[in-house]
Amino acid sequence: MTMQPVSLAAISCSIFEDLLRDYTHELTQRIHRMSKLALQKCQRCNTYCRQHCTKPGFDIYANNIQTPSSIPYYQCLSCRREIAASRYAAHMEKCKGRSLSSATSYASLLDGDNSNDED
Amino acid sequence: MTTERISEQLHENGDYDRLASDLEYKLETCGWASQLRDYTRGIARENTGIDFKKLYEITLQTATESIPDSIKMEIMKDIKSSVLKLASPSEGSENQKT
Repeated sequence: MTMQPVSLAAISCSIFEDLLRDYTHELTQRIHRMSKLALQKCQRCNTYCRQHCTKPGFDIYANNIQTPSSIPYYQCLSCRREIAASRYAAHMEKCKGRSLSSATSYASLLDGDNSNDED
Repeated sequence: MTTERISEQLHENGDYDRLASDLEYKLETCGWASQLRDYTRGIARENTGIDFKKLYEITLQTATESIPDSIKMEIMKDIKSSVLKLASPSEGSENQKT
């Protein structure tokens, strides 16, 4: 099948326009959505901070930032000390030489504690 | 063969998606995409609550007028070779045999 050069150029132009339209449509959709969301009140801080939140304790997207004062603490099953959540696994690795991988169950850890208490 | 049929075949054989990815890559690399995004954001901010259709029309017009000629030529060349490949599939298969 032969194709006339003029027809080929016209077809190529048409397809190129389709490609550009699709690209522009997707880009506009994303930006329009973001601009609409920016007009809505943030559910976390109840202000119009969608684009840029300046409230302390939140990042620019109004997500909660964990500060040293806000990190939860949990009691170690082994030594009964209060350990920060972010350090809990590392502490369990070292606490009295026991590790989570070596413990068969939490019950065994608790049994170990009971025996230590008796000593 | 109509333009619609050719476009359909390009979608079927994956060439359309490949061309779309190439176009996106080239536009991002040269910084044009970033400029278009900034422009569109500016329009959206100046006209709060603007209708999507209106925003799209403005953006498309700007994109069509400002797209770099070099990129347009490269993509058009790619499109032409893809279309010619559809038009003469027997040549392609002969090349594969040899």
